[in-house]
Amino acid sequence: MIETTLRYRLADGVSIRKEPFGAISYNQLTRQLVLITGQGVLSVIEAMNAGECLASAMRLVEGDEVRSGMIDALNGLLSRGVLREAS
Amino acid sequence: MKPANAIPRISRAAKEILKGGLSAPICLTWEITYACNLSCIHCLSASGLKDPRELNTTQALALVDTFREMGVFYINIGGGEPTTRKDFLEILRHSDSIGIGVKFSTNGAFIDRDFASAIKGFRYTDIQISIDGPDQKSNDLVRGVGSYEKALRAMDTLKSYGNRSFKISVVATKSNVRELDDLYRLAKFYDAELRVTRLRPSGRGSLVFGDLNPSAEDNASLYHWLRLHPDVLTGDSFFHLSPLGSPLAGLNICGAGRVVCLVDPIGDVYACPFTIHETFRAGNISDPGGFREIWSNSELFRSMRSSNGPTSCQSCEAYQTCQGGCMSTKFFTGAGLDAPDPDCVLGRAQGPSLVEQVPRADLSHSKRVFITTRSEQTATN
Repeated sequence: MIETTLRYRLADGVSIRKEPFGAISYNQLTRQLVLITGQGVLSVIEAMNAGECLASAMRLVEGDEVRSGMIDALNGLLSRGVLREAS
Repeated sequence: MKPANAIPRISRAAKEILKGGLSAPICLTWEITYACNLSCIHCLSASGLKDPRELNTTQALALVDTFREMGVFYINIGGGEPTTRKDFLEILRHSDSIGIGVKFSTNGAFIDRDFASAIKGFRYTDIQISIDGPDQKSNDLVRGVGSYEKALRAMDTLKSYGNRSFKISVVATKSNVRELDDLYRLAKFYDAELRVTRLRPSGRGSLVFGDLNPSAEDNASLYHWLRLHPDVLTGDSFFHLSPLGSPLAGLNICGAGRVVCLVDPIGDVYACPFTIHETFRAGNISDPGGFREIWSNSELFRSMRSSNGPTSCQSCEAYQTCQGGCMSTKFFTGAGLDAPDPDCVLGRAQGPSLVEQVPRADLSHSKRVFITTRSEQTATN
């Protein structure tokens, strides 16, 4: 389960890129392809890459009102191995 | 444990997104040379002789950089025989260093200890050894005398040096479709993944398609065998068989010009590796804007992304699973792009169009060899 106080990063072997519908990721090691519909998820991931914890990253991208859809999407990416907790 | 096909099935909504095209290919095939030491009778690129216009090292590395900038996830490198290029290791090293995956197909003839050692540390490089039969007799019939021995030697070398896992890549033909269990056992012996793909009437395949293409009964057997072996990769080759039951794992769409494409040895860009024909040529990387412009704005790819598929299939109850089948197979058999797949499992194939001539594959890079089929002896070139 996603914890907003933590920071997450792309799992080893995962690349991600922006698409008009949101983003698409691919894991070189598991061959898993994930379509991420909806905007904002990629920006949150990029903010975490820059050092923000999840809560800060979401505030940067979405302001004070965090959509539950964003949390669900990130949980999905965590459970699918696209994201992992950053050390 | 090796991953099974990591794309179990995708939703209808996701399919529609992918059919509309992406900002960059998910992957693409890059045939880096037409030179080859073999003359496999079904070679989809009709390779053998190097083209003097082949991209040089500087052009090749620049192309890899373009792929990376666009966010292409991985490149399927083939040919011809890619290891015949003197700069092949340099291309692999560069690709790996900038994080772009490479899966390369090889007949294994030049995979020696030095090569295996050289790629040992590459993180995202996969090797696919091509064979088409579980023994010398079966394989060499298609790939030439001595080819099985060379492939096995390559596999032994890779296994001995504990290099990495690799794949055995097989094109399903009438000859080997009943040998899949033996091929599966061969792969397991080497702790390799087995990859089985569809024969297309492309390149030299156009000359032998009638003799080698699996029958309807063969295809049904193949489909059920694949369902029993979900760890076997298929390169999304067999979505035309999906109406036989549940769809096989994969995207189950024709990705040509939408999520994949081909770059040939001289930089021509085609819709997919099985459509090397002027009809499906989108441009050359030396055109203004290069590959990026071709991918984003070529008239051919735009039309493919807005296409609704073959008109004669739209009303079929199986259309959502088979998507009307393979464009290349329809084109090079003369069926026409609006027709069902020639191997339509519901028996709705219409045969060659009586109006149009069957398109001819480009055989200009083939060496002069004699291909013996059951029906005739044909010289290429």
